[in-house]
Amino acid sequence: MHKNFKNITAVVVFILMGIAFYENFQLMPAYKGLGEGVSDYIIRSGLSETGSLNLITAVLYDYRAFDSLGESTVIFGAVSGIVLILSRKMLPVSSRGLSFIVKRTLGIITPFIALFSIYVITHGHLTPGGGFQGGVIFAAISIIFSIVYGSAFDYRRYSPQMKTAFETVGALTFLGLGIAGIFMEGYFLHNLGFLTAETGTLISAGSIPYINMGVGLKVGAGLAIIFYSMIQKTFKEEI
Amino acid sequence: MQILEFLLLIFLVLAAVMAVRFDEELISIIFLSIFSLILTSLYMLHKAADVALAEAVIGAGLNTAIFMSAISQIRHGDSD
Amino acid sequence: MMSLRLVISYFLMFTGAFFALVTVLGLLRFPDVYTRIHAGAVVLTISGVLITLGTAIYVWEFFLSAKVVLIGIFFLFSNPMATHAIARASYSRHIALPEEYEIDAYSEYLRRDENANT
Repeated sequence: MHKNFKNITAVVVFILMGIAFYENFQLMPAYKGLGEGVSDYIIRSGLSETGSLNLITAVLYDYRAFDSLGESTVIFGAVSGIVLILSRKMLPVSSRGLSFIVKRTLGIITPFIALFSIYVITHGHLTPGGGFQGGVIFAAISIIFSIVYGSAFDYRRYSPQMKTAFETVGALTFLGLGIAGIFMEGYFLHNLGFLTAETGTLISAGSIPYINMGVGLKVGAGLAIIFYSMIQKTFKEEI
Repeated sequence: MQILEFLLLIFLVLAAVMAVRFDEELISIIFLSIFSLILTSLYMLHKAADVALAEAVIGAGLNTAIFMSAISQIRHGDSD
Repeated sequence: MMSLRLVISYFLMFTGAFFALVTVLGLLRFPDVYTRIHAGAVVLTISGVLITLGTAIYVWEFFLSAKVVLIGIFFLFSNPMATHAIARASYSRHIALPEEYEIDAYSEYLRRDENANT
């Protein structure tokens, strides 16, 4: 009875997903060739429709936001696989890190790296950059902590539980904005109309900055988890 | 500008060939990093700033660190 | 008629290019690791900083110049640190053996460190 119920549920879910995909694919426009196709349309009316000065970000997080959701799911899969193989239950065997000079200098530089990553993430719709690049810069801070100060320092400052929480918050931000798009605009991941403001200001372009922040948190925490689980039993005591 | 692009393309091919041909993994990783750096400047020359930023951060920064840690893990396994 | 600003910026840029040439000569001609590191540290610490300063004077707009000068300050911070880390790593990995040198102050320093620890 119990097994039967599971099977029936799976079949019903698959049929509903099939109907949803079919209905969505019905809405896709016909192919018109490169000249008057979608790229020309985006170049002409991307700015007025999304309010994002950086058209690449407009394509990534508004017109093709569903693809970006798939990409971040791929990163989630990679993180899960690597953490599953290289178990993180083991206590970190840490090196003492590099010398005093390197530690002090990076102590001065690291806050500016964090500031730069926050700038790249939050100004993704105005200047080149966006969630993915800023997130990787954010992960670089964890790499610096692991190499320069030893991975025990990285464990104390940003524990794996905290990184997991960051990644979950990022993914939930993305999905929540998508579901808010269903309820307020009618389509999944549609740009939220009530958030638009004057073009060129920091808080404009609808939901694009918030999706950027979600993707940045998710990518940064995910890549930091990958590097931490690769390094943790690697570097031993030297000199 | 044409000459600069031509020179950068030649160095790109050279770096790729060096990264493949060297036997030692460490030198191959360094040449991969150089490859990413040249590719970044080529993207910047063609005014694709987004892709250039992504390539610089991922190719020259993150890939090198992850490859280095993987290589050092392999070395430790060999010596022990 | 060239203004004084352009003359100063060109002078800084050409001095930076000269130091880059010196770096290449040093990397080619010096015999071993430490002297080559010593030569290679020049290219960002002096040449890069001078070229960024020259560019900042050449463009002469407040925000652009400030950004370029910040990049120069970043070079000035990061490159000596990286050179120091590379030299220390090549010492501890025995890439160049310390027995080849007449003066080896760093090993004496390390020995003092061990004595202090034990």
